[in-house]
Amino acid sequence: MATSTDADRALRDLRDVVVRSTIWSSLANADIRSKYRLSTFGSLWITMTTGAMALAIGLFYGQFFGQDMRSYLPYFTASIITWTFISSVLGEASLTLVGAGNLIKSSQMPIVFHILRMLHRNLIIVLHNAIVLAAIWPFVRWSLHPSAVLSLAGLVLLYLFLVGTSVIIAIICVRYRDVPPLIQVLIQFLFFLTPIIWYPEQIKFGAELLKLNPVTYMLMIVRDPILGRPVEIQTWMIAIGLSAASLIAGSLMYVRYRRRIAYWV
Amino acid sequence: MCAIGAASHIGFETMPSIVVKNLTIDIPVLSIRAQSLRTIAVAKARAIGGRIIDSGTQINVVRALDQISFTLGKGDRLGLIGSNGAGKSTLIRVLADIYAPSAGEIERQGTLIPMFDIGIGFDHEATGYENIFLRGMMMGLTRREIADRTDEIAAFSELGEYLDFPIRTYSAGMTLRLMFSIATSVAGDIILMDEWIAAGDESFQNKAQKRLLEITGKAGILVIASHDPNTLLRHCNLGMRLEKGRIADFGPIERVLNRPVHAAAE
Repeated sequence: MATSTDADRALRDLRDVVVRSTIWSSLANADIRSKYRLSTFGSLWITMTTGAMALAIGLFYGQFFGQDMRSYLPYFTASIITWTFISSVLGEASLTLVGAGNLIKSSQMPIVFHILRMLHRNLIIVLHNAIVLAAIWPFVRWSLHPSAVLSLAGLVLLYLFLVGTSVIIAIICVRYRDVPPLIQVLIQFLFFLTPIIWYPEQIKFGAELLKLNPVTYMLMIVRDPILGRPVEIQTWMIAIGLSAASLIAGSLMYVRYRRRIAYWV
Repeated sequence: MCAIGAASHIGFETMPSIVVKNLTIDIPVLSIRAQSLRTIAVAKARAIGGRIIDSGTQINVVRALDQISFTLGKGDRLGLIGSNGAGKSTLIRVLADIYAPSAGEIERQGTLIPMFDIGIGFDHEATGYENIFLRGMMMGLTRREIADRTDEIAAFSELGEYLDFPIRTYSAGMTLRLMFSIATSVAGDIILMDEWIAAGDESFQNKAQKRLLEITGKAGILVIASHDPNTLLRHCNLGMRLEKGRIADFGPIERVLNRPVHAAAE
């Protein structure tokens, strides 16, 4: 308990993310429970909201892309579930530390736990939403290959990617309070530049440019295996690289700025 | 370690101590403009080549604590005195490991129990029991440790069946009872308080005071910031008067309280 440098302190926090993971995961569970406490279906409302959207768009929008409903419905559903995860996390990351200000200034909980709590809450939502995909399978019966389990590996990679990215966004946004709206703009921008409602194969112009969008890779590794769409090994390599880079950058940023966050909130 | 200190135990008996050396805390006071990335980017862009226009992006710094040094050992009960903004609460938060020192250092031995802002982190939609769990998690307790304490917390709060109801249905006094019961359910060597905690109606008040005295009595070190001389005289043996972030006086509590403010500053 003697004096320790700020870097030691930050590194200890990061280690505690793993060692004391029950804390942030329990808090996330409590958040979900609390939010849906007063309704009959509870957290299944999450599932129903996504289900309604997937049905409405999935049934009709396929026509615009020359696809029949049977292939477009699962495509859109899987896309939107993954995208909702990404966009909610990025959006909430920009507000999470400011929102936890009082807690940061009064408790000794590692600051990074507030970010993990937010992430885990969103992971619980994804898992709820995955039910929608399971529910439409009996009607559409797209071919499920054993490689579909790779979607889980993709989800793990995406989670790691979002951990790093969220830490970076959260720290920038707690220091500069005009950044959150910018993040919202970026999310909107990314939505249209990522193959969510459209198919990457259909791009005739600017395909090279779209390859610069990191979200595309992170989305494809989660969505494509479960749909039986092939994922190139190159995509996996890029996704692994992006996750590693994001974790390293996030950790460095946390170690560097951790001590100042209590002053900024 | 102190973060989540309540749960960590040191394998051998340690004497609790706090050693503060030349501690300085600078708190950045960010103006609205300095919190804007756009303003700063524009100011930087303008600065290239041309003269620098006052952009209002400078970060003002308030020196909340200035070159503070003191040592506390087992049995010391320190009362912090000073006008608003003198740095009392800041010092409590530095000792609690929330604010990192801008300069100087702090050495701490012993498990830390912060007992301020005890109402933060509660979920008003959740039941009393769930809040015990929630708050326990935030205090760094394990599931087991929380489970072990829950009955005791429930009994002390005397809330009975109400603990199964969301706390938004509680009266203010009932909520305070719960908060108090949770906050005082942990034991530690170093207790930090920002004002003495008072909770509930008369009967609970007495019980609560008894418990606080018991806990603080058992703790090796107590540091409390307060404006009430009686509280300080009752619970402290040492006093420290802070003025504009500096130690104006430090010594036995009676002396520090009785010495006129300006005389102490000399």
